[in-house]
Amino acid sequence: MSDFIIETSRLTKKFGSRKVVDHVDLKVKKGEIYGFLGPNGAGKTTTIRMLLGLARPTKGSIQIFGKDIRKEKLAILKKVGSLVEYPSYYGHLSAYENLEAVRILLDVPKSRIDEVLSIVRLTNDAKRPVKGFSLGMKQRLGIATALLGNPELLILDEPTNGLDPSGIIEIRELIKSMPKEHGITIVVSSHLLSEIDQMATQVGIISKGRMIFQDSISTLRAQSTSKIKLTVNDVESAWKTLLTHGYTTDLSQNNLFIENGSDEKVAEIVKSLVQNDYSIYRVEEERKSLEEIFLELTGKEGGL
Amino acid sequence: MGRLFRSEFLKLRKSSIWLLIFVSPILSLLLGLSELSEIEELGQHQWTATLGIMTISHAILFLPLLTGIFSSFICRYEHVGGGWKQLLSLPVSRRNVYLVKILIVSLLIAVTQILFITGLFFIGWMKGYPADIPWGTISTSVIGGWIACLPLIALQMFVSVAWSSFAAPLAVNVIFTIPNMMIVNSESFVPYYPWAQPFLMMMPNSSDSFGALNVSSETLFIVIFGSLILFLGSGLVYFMRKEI
Repeated sequence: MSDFIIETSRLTKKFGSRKVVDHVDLKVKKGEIYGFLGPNGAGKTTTIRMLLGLARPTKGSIQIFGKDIRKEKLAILKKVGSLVEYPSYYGHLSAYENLEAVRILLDVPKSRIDEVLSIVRLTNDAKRPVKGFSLGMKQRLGIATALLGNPELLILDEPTNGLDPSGIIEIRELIKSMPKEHGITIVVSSHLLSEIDQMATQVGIISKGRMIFQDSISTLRAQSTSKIKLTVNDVESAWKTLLTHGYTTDLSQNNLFIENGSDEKVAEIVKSLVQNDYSIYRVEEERKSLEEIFLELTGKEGGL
Repeated sequence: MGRLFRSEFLKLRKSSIWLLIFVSPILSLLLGLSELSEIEELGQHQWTATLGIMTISHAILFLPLLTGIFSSFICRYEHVGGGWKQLLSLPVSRRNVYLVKILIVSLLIAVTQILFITGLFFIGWMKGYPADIPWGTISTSVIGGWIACLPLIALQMFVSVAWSSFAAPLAVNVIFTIPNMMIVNSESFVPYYPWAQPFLMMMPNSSDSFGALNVSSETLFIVIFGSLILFLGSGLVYFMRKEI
């Protein structure tokens, strides 16, 4: 048995001839918060639908808890709580009745309904019909439904969609607390990197159906290479002077940039500029943000 | 299966659609009462004659329509709020989900039939029909009508599950139900037209103005059970394979 909670192998889904998910090897370890990141239409929701047995893979296999989803779907789903895309609800029922309709199927004690309602702070609205709920309240009800069966694995597709800032923070704190308190493994998808950055321990980036990065979030950060930016008084002549001394720098936006400069090299360049009577206003390090790395990885059309 | 049934029943109970079970029995009751004066001195035939009158609107029009309306509604709240994906990502088998939905609609139709027959007894009691009630004829009519509705339920469930639109399955239902009025008069078509089966099964044999009633009950059962297996099987296979 492997130590992965979710392990997919060459998971592929075609709609017609278009590959929406293309050879994805998703690997999620126990107790992780796995951020599943990608631009809209990259194949996140399709992958999640396959993980839940709602859609059938064209090719490839899915193992959850070490079991094959095709053979032991019900045993797997018993331990999985999920929220896929927009929240599901029965508008003519109250929040309490919505949870009751699911509770009957999961066969958990009735007291669990009040517990999950208080977790998402819907206790006061529990008796109202859900059709009158705001999107944020429906979203919270969806999360409550996902938590109802005491799942070991929680799959949340865009869980902070439609929430107001305080709601986003609340849900984020809730998600972050769960692996610690209950040992739950969580998969959270989002198209917002900042969202994932604040919750996830592992991150998988998908673009046009392909998994283009999968590792810890610190590894992703390490990919951000730094540049040294020099601001001087006469940029063009400074650039030429440096060139005659054998130092290549990039000239752009009235600044000089040193790529991959070691400390010694930076010191030498500064020294030679000072010796040639240039006024140095600033020496700064510029680091690429995660957003920029993400954009670079997903290509230009990967709008955030 | 039991849990699915309870969950489904909760969803149904809170919607007001089940109130429709009263519509056709009440209309049939009024119809039966108003025609009453023309039936004279028929003895035990008073029962079957009244049953025949009540059956016409109930079995030609309302029963087939109700199968479609109930099926559409029981799928509607799943389509509208994204219920399918929530329901099917719970540890429930798709086959049972589908069968329970069909079971619920069948029960609603069964209750409609019971109310319908209660209406008949009410008329008999009011008018003082003979005490020797023709139980055989009446129960054959009611139960037969219910059985004849099962293929329609299976077909309507298939259509309602497949189309997320609420109106489309109903349109199909109406399109096939309306010609009933002509088809029940046609000896050659009626045994093979599923929408006419509830009427054929419910109409007591005494009124032989409809040529089609000469069709043997064997033929009817073959047609009914044949179409039931066909519609139920194809609907089930479709639902098991459907991508949500």
